[in-house]
Amino acid sequence: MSWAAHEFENYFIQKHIGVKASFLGIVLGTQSPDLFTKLFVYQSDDTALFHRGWPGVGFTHSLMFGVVLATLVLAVTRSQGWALGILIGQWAHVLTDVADSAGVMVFFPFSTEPVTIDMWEHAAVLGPHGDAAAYYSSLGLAWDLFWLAMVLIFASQALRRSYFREVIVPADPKVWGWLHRTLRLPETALLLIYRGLMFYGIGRLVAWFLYARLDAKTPLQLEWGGPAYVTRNDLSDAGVLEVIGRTALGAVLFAAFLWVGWRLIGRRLWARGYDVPAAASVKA
Amino acid sequence: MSDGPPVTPSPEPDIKLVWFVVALLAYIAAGFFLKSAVLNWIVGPLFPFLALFVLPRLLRWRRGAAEVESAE
Repeated sequence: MSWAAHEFENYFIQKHIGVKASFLGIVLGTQSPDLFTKLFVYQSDDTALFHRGWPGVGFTHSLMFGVVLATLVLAVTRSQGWALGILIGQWAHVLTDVADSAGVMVFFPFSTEPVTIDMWEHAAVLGPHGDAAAYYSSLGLAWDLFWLAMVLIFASQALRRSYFREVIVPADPKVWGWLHRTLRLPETALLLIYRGLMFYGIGRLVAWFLYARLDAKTPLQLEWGGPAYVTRNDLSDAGVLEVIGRTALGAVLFAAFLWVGWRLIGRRLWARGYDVPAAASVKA
Repeated sequence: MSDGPPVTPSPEPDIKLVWFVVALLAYIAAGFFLKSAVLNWIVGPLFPFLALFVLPRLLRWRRGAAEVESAE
């Protein structure tokens, strides 16, 4: 699993999508795969299988889960900005988690084959603290730093007050306006809430890194597939060609499902949904 | 929730970067010792709001109340 990367990528995505998607929708999307399942993952007998496999809650880490969630939100709220934000955020989480050894069932239910690039070991079996120490002793650390750099280099504008005023609020005027009026929070307070995930990402990255070095004293092994002291937990014993074949089939079936689903349901829901005025003016 | 002009731009200047750094160092220190109690998805994102908005206002309010008491 990825740790602070899931916080940083929110700002990167928002900067590149702009007013078309709600920031809070993106946040809900990036957090949705682990939102209701993470606590149970650490308590399960087979943490990797439960977290990412089937049977288990691995379906939350599939592209299909994002489609279902976004469709439900679009059907209930009619907000295109929230639906789009959730879809892109959830897909970003799925693709980010491809990097650890457990991988993700990207095209579930059409393929239950986990896709992974094995960059670091999925270490939930060690419990929350052991998991953090292992992650920040592996290339997971580099992954978080990569996403932090992506935000600072390509999306630092997204953290500015002017961006919050001109893009974040207009993209989601209902929720930010509600917080402003009902809780009587001035813009300064809303800005602190908006920047909170960036703060949290940096804070947890540094704190857990220090914990790994000074308290848990785990060896820093910045090598592919590390750290070596964590037992290997690959969910699949299939060969590379088998994985490619099943995943490709899953991708084709998923694409076909999306096309049919869009024609039958999606485009109607989208058409009866509403766009914020700011996004509409961008289109025009 | 209602529509309408969403957020009135605040006349207050943006909080200085140094205060973010101070809050971050405090958060990291608290996180190192308290771990999951602080390094979680509720406390973490809300920490700057609590440390840089709620806390200063609470302190200001307390100081104001103490000044009124001493004046009486």
